Amino acid sequence: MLNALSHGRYISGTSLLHRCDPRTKIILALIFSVIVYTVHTPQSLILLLLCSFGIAQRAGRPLRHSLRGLKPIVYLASITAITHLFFGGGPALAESGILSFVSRDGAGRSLLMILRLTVLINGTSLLTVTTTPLTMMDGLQWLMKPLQRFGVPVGEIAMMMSLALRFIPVIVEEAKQLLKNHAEISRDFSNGTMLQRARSCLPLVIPLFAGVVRRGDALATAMDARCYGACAERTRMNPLRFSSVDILCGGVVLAFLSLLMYIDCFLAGGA
Amino acid sequence: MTDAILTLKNVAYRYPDGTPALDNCSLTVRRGSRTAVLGTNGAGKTTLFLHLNGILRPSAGQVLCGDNPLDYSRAGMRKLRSQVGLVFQNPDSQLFSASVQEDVSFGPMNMGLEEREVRTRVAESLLAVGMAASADRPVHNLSYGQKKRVCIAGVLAMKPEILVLDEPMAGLDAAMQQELMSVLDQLHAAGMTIIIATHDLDFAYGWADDGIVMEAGRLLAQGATTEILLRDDVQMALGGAPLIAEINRRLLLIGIDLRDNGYLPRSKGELLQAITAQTRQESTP
Ligand SMILES: Nc1ncnc2c1ncn2[C@@H]1O[C@H](COP(=O)(O)OP(=O)(O)OP(=O)(O)O)[C@@H](O)[C@H]1O
Ligand SMILES: [Mg+2]
Repeated sequence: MLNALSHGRYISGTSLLHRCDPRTKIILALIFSVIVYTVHTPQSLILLLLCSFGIAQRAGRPLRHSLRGLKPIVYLASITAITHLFFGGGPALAESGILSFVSRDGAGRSLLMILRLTVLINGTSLLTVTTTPLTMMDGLQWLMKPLQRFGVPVGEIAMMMSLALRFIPVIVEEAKQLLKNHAEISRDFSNGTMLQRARSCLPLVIPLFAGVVRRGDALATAMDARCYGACAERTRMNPLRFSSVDILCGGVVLAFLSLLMYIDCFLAGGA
Repeated sequence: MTDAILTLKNVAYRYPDGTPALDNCSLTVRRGSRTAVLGTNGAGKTTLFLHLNGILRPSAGQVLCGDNPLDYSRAGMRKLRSQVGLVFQNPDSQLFSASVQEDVSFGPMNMGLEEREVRTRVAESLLAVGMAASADRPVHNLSYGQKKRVCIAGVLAMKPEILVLDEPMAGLDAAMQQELMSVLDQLHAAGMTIIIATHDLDFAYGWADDGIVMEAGRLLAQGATTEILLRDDVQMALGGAPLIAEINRRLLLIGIDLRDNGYLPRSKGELLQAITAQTRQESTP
């Protein structure tokens, strides 16, 4: 479960996607997410899934890796899917026996939902796998720039996000340590009902939270000591630049997605 | 004293929860000196350091940089923070960024320096602490000692006049300590004033020129480490003495004095030399 947090971490490489500007990748990821939720047919979703596996492999992420990252998501999705399965309404899957309790629409819908989530997670993790946290922040900051006019502290938000990214592995590490120190917690943590699990989390969550607060305090002091907020304008490094790679990647992905939408409409209409 | 670079005059400080951490504390740090700050846990070393670059403001008394009282305005702080570089005790709570290079650039970027200048400074400071080869590594994978070095580089990149380090040797292995010491010696040779809080009496005795001994938020003693660390009240307060002083005390009992004109050896090398000299004297008559 804790390993799931480190899923989708940056893998260095020189693939086309690596060389793409973070802004292009963020926008493409957004379009991708919208499309994942608008397509109607499982065929299109499967096609998208295969493509994202393929691209991930090209970007230096082995298939095994991608699959392992999906495990907790599938597990989570299955729980939700079960509710759909029994309370979906409509005709049943069979006349009698256990299957007569299962709604046919529900079964289809839950399968589609699991598929959607899988495609979504796997596709968007391509963004984090090929972009360093720093350039990601730069990209987000650039994209949020228009909000600055409405008084949104974009620079501070970007700093906050990059701090969060920096400290996620530390907090995961701390949680692992705490789990190790309390073997019995860790046993309860992975057994029992949801409520039991939630309760057994408490001795873990409280010291973890206290640790985060303490660290935050020390961090703020250390940032002060290094002149944070001393100047109106921080120096900006690595100004982002669009290049031919972005046109190529953007063009190919958009063309592919449009084609997919067309086929999807066709399939949905034909069915 | 005209060559004082930092001065505290009757400084008192109470934490918001009421803990008195500094109490009528007066001391000076000489320009270009290597100063060791000593004191038991809770004596107020860290609190003292936080006053030196204006992060804490005295409840009473005054802190002076050169001859001028600290200017606590925004502009004053901007200048002071880059002038007095403070390296904290725990490296994990002062590395903010994902990669080494990025972290070292944090200070210079906050100072609004030009991009090219930032790059030069980052490269120089990483070189100075021997971490140039790890510039692109993620911070969270580094060893404890490497993290400490990155912290020092991050402060060096602001080109401070005074480098203040809170227990830099704690948690480092012997080789790493030796290396860090030589880095500090180079910086000192280049004219930097270096202030170090430490619990290591032998290090303070052997390395530092000046010593500041704190006890319960007050200054107990200040002066050359070779003098004050031999004082009884100081040794009592710190709960120990430098090993060389202990050795000499025992040897005096059997009539051997390692002192040469009242000068006790400071380093391992000098100690061995003194012993050789003594044994030669023993064997000649
Ligand atoms: N944030 C704080 N809030 C309240 N009291 C504090 C705080 N930080 C330190 N103190 C108290 O102030 C006193 C001086 O602490 P300080 O950290 O300066 O000691 P120190 O000499 O650095 O000790 P150590 O050798 O353990 O690092 C102690 O009594 C400590 O409990
Ligand atoms: Mg301390």
